[in-house]
Amino acid sequence: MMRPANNIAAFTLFEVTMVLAIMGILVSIIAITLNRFNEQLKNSTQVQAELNDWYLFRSNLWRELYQSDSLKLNKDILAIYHSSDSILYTIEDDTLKRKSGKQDWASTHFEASGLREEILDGKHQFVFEFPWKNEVMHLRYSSKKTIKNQVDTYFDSLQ
Amino acid sequence: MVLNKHIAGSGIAEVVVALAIISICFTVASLVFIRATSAPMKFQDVRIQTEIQSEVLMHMYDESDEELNLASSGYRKEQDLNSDQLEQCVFEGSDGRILWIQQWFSFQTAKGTR
Repeated sequence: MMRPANNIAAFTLFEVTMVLAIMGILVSIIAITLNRFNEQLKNSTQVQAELNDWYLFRSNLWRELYQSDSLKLNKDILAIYHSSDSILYTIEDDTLKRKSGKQDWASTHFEASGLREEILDGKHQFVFEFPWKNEVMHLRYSSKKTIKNQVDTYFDSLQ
Repeated sequence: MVLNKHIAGSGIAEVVVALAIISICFTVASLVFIRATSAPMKFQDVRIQTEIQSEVLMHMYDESDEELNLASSGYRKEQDLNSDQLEQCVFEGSDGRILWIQQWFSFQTAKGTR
């Protein structure tokens, strides 16, 4: 014996349209949000990489300065003398360049706007200026003139 | 029959409330995500940090008894938790974010920053 069919009232066309519209809005919101998340991840990765590069460069520069015997700025070239080798820094095309020992000049990939020596209250300071997000960042290192300076300068002049 | 029973649909107000709740959830999730993934150190902070390091290093070389003076940031002195002989200066930015922690030997702190 056949069961009589139970017809359930279907949604009207208007209701279906409304549901689809709401689903569409939700899907759009989710898509936009995911896109934004992706962009944010990309940005934060880039920022982190840029900062890491800077930290690495800065810590290396501090170490070179700190371990140096003496420092000398001559014709826009800063010589950092160590017991074994000397390291040179200069600015070319607004970029800080570095030369270690007998190697060629290599770019540090950091923009620099100034490299100078200042004497403040009788203290010698070597100042690196880096343009940093529309501001200027100063990295200063204080150096005492000792007999080592004269010795290094003398041997430098012999080369 | 149960199957023939009509279930009441959602009213416009209910739909609006549901959408609003969903939007709030998305907004909060986005903010949490952006906050969590944004760099812990801002570029501006890095600039100040570099200048603090310069000042601190100069102060370490300085043989005078002048106070360490850093206009750009506030700092506080704390006992180092790992060593009795060390004290540390914690430099903070204007928003309370720690920019740099410098450890000092106690005698150096006594000379310079105390």
